[in-house]
Amino acid sequence: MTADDSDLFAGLVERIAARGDRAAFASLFDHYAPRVKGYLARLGLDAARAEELTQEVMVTVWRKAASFDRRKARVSTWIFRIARNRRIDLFRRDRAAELDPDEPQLTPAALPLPDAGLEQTQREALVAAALADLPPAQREMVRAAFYEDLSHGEIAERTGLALGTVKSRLRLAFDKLRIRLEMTR
Amino acid sequence: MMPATDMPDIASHPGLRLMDSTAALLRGDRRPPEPTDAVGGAFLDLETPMALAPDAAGRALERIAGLEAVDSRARQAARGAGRQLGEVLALPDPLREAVFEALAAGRRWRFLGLGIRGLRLPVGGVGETQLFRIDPGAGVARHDHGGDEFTLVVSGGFHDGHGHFGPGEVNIGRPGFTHEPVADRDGVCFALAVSFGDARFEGPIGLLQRLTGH
Repeated sequence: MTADDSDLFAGLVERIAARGDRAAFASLFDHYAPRVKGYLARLGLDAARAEELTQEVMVTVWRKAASFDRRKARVSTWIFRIARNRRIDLFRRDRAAELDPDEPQLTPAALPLPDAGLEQTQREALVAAALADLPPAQREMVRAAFYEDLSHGEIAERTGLALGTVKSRLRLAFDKLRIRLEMTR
Repeated sequence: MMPATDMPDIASHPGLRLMDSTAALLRGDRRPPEPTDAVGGAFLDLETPMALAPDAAGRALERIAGLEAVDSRARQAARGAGRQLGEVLALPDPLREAVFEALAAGRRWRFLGLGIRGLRLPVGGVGETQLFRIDPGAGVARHDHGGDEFTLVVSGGFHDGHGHFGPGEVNIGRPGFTHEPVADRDGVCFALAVSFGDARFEGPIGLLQRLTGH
């Protein structure tokens, strides 16, 4: 997503918060609802359930619009967090909390963010760009671990790779992201 | 919370589902944003869109309008009843919505003892789902249970003679287990309870209970 698009969507959320702008909500819905539905379906929900939950997520987007701060996150990050939290509440498991305790360098906290002097949204845009430049095999690992919240064991099962291979690909991906993001400091 | 084996099937009972999602909110809604949420957001942008029903956006807006109508009717009802609106507004959703729906449907806080009020919530399911409001230091008389009773502390806290329970914690009462919850002195205690049988009070209150059919 370009920085301009990101700004556009931030403006829509702000219009919802400021005056309950239904047209702004409809535009936001048209873009994000199908992607949230795709995300939930990817996580294993059937189409009907995914649509039901997507409706709940978008209603939450409306009700929480006042808490959105464009200096703190991009809209995509904010909506992802709402969808992810809803999914966690539903299945009552936070898989990120179950990441291998022997591999602290692969936990979420280990991912560095670019220069703190930059705006958060610019930092997030750099993360997205760095992800796009990862070799596909490594990008898939990062997506499975931090978008789909699969454990290392589950990733190994799905890909047919050995557990050690999954971990070393994630480690390589993190190293690349770290180098890339630190170059922007 | 307590081990999963102590709880009945949460998914099958609307009152327990409400309690579970409220407890989850109290425990962890304030999850700090993870750096990897930015990763998630990036992948959400790249997600293959999956079409929804043609009227999906309209239905979302209808649901929003419905929730706002409930909100405003309940605010009027709450004001009319002279209740402390601010306290109710501070409750987390979806519990707050359930309270608003109860008030909008004409239900009222019932006097249950000195400093204790209860509001039955119209969530459905077997047994009773009720929100209690307990004044600081006020207590529910010692009682046994006709069936299982699960009480989630939403705000404030109480000691029941066996242990202390604070926000997000669930107290379980079972037949043969008597307890005597007393609210902490430093604030009002809101507690959400799902009970599958009547509380059985001892002594004069027990007599009153039997005489009034409660």
